[in-house]
Amino acid sequence: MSSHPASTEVFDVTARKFHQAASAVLLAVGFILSGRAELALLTIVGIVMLAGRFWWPADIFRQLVWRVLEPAHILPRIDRQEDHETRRVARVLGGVLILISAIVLATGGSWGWVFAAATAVLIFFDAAFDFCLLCFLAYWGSRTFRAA
Amino acid sequence: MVERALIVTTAFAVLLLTAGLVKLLIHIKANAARGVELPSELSERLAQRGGPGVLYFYGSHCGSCQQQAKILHRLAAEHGVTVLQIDATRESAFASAFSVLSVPVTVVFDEALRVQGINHGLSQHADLEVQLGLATHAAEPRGSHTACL
Repeated sequence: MSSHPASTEVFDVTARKFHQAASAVLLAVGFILSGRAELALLTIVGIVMLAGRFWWPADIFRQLVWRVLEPAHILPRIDRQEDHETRRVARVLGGVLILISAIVLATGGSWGWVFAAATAVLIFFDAAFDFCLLCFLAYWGSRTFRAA
Repeated sequence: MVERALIVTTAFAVLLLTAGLVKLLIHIKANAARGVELPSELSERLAQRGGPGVLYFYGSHCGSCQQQAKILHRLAAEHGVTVLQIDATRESAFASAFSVLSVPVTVVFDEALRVQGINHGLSQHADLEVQLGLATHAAEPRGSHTACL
């Protein structure tokens, strides 16, 4: 066996999954509460996703894991090799879509939830099953296109 | 509010059930494939190089595949294992034979070119070493690096 632990960088999966779970739960709670709480929660999740991508102290969910939950052994730290580049792109896309949802809802458009719900589903699949739904769709799209 | 709570609960249950069933099917198919010989066309391609090794199904626009390729290159350099790359979007017959639903997928085979394991998603270096019989247990990666995702 190799003396080197890994051929690529490893990342804290616990913090990533907690961030995703917190985002999905807050979006669901926002949908249930509706009104001002809905707008507030959408805005918070969108900003945390977007700002935390470029300035990590803004990611309050990960900060909670790193500063409180992991040091207190409430959650175990699990480091794994991961594809963080794709997730970074997805995160920016998700943050933008959630903020657009908040703007649409604030201006009275009830269809604003379409974007946020789609983002929540993608987040849920990655958090729960490490499954990239967009990658799955891209793969089948590419395969179908080539077959045609 | 109650209506919306019901919508969220139902959606959550449907998503969980669907994903759970898909995972279970993949697991059952992967277990059924263990010990089965590779298709003859792949065996011919591997005739010069032999086993043990890894069939690596990838896609051209797949971010995780770049990570997987790095891990496999490293594995090949360290242990001399064979790595056969297959574009899953071009060679869809092979992809279907190994139930490739999304990429990357790695199929580990032994010296006799029999399947030892099928991994859906990004396979860890240490896990592949174990499947290839190069290590007895999956090592915990050290030297952790925390990044801003």
